[in-house]
Amino acid sequence: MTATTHHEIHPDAEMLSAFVEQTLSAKERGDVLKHLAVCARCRNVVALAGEAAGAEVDASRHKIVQPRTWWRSWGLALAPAVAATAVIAIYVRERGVERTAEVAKLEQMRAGERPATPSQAAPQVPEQAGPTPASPAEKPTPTERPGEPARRATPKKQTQVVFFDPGGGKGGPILTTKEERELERALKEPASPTAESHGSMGAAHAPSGAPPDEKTEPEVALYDEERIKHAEEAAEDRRQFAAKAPMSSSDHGSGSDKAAGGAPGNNEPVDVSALQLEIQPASTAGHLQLHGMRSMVDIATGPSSFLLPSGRPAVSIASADHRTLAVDEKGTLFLREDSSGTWEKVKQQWTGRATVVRRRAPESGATGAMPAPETGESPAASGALSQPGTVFELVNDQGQVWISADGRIWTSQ
Amino acid sequence: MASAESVAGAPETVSGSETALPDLRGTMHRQLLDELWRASDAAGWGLEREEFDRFMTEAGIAQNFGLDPEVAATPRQQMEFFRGLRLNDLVLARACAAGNDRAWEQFISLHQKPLIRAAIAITGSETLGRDLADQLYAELYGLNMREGERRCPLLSYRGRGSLMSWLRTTLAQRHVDRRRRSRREQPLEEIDVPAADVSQQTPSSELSQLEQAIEHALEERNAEERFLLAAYYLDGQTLLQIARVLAVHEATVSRKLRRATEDTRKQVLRNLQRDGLSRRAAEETLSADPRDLDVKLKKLLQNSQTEAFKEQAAP
Repeated sequence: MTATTHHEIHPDAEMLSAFVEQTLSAKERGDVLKHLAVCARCRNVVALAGEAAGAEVDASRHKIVQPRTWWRSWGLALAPAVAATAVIAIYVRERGVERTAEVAKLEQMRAGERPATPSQAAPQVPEQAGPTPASPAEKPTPTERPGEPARRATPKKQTQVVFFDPGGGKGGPILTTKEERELERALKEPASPTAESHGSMGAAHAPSGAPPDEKTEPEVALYDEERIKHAEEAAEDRRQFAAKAPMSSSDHGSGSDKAAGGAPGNNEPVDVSALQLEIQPASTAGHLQLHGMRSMVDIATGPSSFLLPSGRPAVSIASADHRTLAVDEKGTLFLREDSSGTWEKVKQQWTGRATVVRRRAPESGATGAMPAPETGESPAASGALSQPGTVFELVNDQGQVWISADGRIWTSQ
Repeated sequence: MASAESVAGAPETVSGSETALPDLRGTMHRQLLDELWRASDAAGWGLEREEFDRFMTEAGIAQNFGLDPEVAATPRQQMEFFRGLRLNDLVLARACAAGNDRAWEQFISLHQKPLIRAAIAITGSETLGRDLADQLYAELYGLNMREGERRCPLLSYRGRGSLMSWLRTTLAQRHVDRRRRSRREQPLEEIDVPAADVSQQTPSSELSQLEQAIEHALEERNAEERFLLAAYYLDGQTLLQIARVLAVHEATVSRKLRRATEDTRKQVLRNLQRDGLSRRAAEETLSADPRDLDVKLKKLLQNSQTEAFKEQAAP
C-alpha cells in the first residue's frame, strides 16, 4: 500500500490494476473493495483506468473495422442495386446473344436449304429467269456444298437467296439490327472469286466455284446422306404445306405452285436481300448447314426450336422495328417486342388459321423479291430494318391477307 | 514443475515477509525459480539469475503470495501465486528498470501508443493526455531522482496484473492526484473535504434521527453494495464504468444497485421505526429533504480509511 499522505492510505497501482483484472485473491479483493467503498479517490482511479481500458478495446475494434466514409455508408444500399443491375445486364446480353445466334442459325439454315435440295439451287431470278422445275426426287450431287451460295454472296451485289416461300416471296426483314449484323457476317464469309455471279444462283451453287471444303471425305459422305434424307423430308413437307395453304393472288399463286410442287424445281428463286430474309415454316426447312460455322445444324435447333408460349413451335416468324411476330402451328399469333423480351398473344382479328406472318414488301419492291442493299453497308446504317410505318402481313389458311403496322391491330387487306 | 509431495517439509507458517525468506529458499523454491527463469527468458533481457531470484522472491514475500499476512503459504500456494504472475511483463519491467536498451525498445513498441491512448482517454484531452503520458514516460525512464538515486516506478510493478493495466492505473493515479491537488486550491470542494463532525452541525431532530438511521443502514451493507452506492450516487459513475471496474455486466450492476437501494431504504425505515417513529412518520422523514440527506450521505461515505489498509500502512 502506498501512503500518499499522512491520513490517506490507498492501494497502490499494482493492487488496483490487479483488482480490475480480477487477479487478486478473495481476501485481497475484499480489502480493495472495502477501500473503494469509502475512497472516492481510488474509485475515481479505477473508474478512469477502466475507462481507458475500454477506450483501448474500442480502438482495437476500430483497427479492424475502419471508419466508414459517407459514400461507403451507402454500400449496403448500393450493393444490391449494383448486383441487380449486373444480373439484368447479363441477362439482357445473354438473351441478345442467344437470340442473335438463334436467328443467325435460322437464316443460315434457310440459306443452306438450297443446296440441300439441289433442284432448288437452280439459279433463278424472277425477272430474269423463270421457275425451273425440278424433280423432288432429284438427288444432290456429293460435290454440292450447302450454304455456299450464301458464302459467295458479295456484299456489293444483290445477294440472291433462294428459299421456299409459301407466302409468295414477300418476306420482309425479320431481323433486328444485331441479328442482321450476325447474318451479314455469316453471309460475308470468304467467297470464292468465281462466286462473283450475280443473279444466278446456279453460278453461286456451281460446284466448281465452291471453296475447298474442310471436311474429310467420310464426313462429306455422311453429310450428303443426311442432306439427301432431309431434302426428301422437306420436299414432302412442302407438298403437304402447299396443299393446305394455296395462295390466292397471282404472286401467291406462284408460291403456291412452288409449294404445291414441293419439288425444288418449283421453288421460284426470289431475289431478296440477304438481310431481309424470312423464316419459313419449320416443316419446310431441312437439314441445313450453318455457313458461318461450316457445321451441320439440325433444324431441330432452328425454327422449330422456337417454342412459343402456347407450347408449340413457330411456323412463321417476321420481325421489323424491334417487333417480332410468330405464328404457331395452330395459327396463334404472338408478338414480342425487343424492349420487353416476352411473347404476348395477339387477339385474333382474322378469319381462319393464320399460317404465315411476314413483313410487307415495300411498294416499290418487285413482287416476290425484296430490294437488296446495294452495298455491304450495315442494315442499321441503311435503315432497311427500321423503316417507319412497317407493315406486317398475315396470311390465313385461305390465302387471305391482313395487314398491321404494329402487329397488334390487324385489318383485312 | 515440482510436485507438492516433493516439498512436504516446506514451512507452514509465515509470520512475516522477512521471516519467510529462509524457508522460501528451500528446494521447492529453487525448483520453482528454475522453472520461472526458463519460462521468462529473463536471460535474454540481460537479467542475472541472482537478480531474478531476488525480485521474484521479493514479489512473493511482499504480498505473502496473495494470502493473509498471518497465513503461511504452502509450496503449492506459492507455486500458484507465481504461476498467476505476469512473468513476461514483470521481467520486461525489471529489465527496463535496469536500463536494458533492448527491453526499452520492446516496451516502447508494445506500450507507447496504448499508453498515449490511455492517457488521452483518462484526461479527455489530447494535449493533457500526451502531457500526462510524457510525464509518466519520463518517470519510467528514471529521469526523476530521489535521494540521489534514479527511481523507476517500474520497480514497484510486481506482475499481479498486466503491465499495461498497471500503466493505465498509474496514469489514472497521476491524473487524479493532480486534479485533487488543483481542486484543493479551489474554494468549493465537494469530494475530498475531510469528513466533518456531524455533531458540530445543527440538524433538526428529524434529520439527525434520519442521519443516524442511514448511517446504521449503510454500515450493514457489505463492501460491494457500499461501493455500488457510492460510485453511482456519489461519484455519478455510469453503470458501464462500474461494470468495468467490477468486471460484470451492466445489467448485473443495475440489478445489484437496485437491490442495494431498496434494502438500504427498508433498513432506514426499520431503523427509524426502531427509534420510535411510526411507519408513516418514518416515511415522511425519509422523504423530508433529499438534498440534506444527500449531503449527509456524502459525509458518511467519505470515510477514506479502512481497517485493512490502515493496518498495512502502519510502519
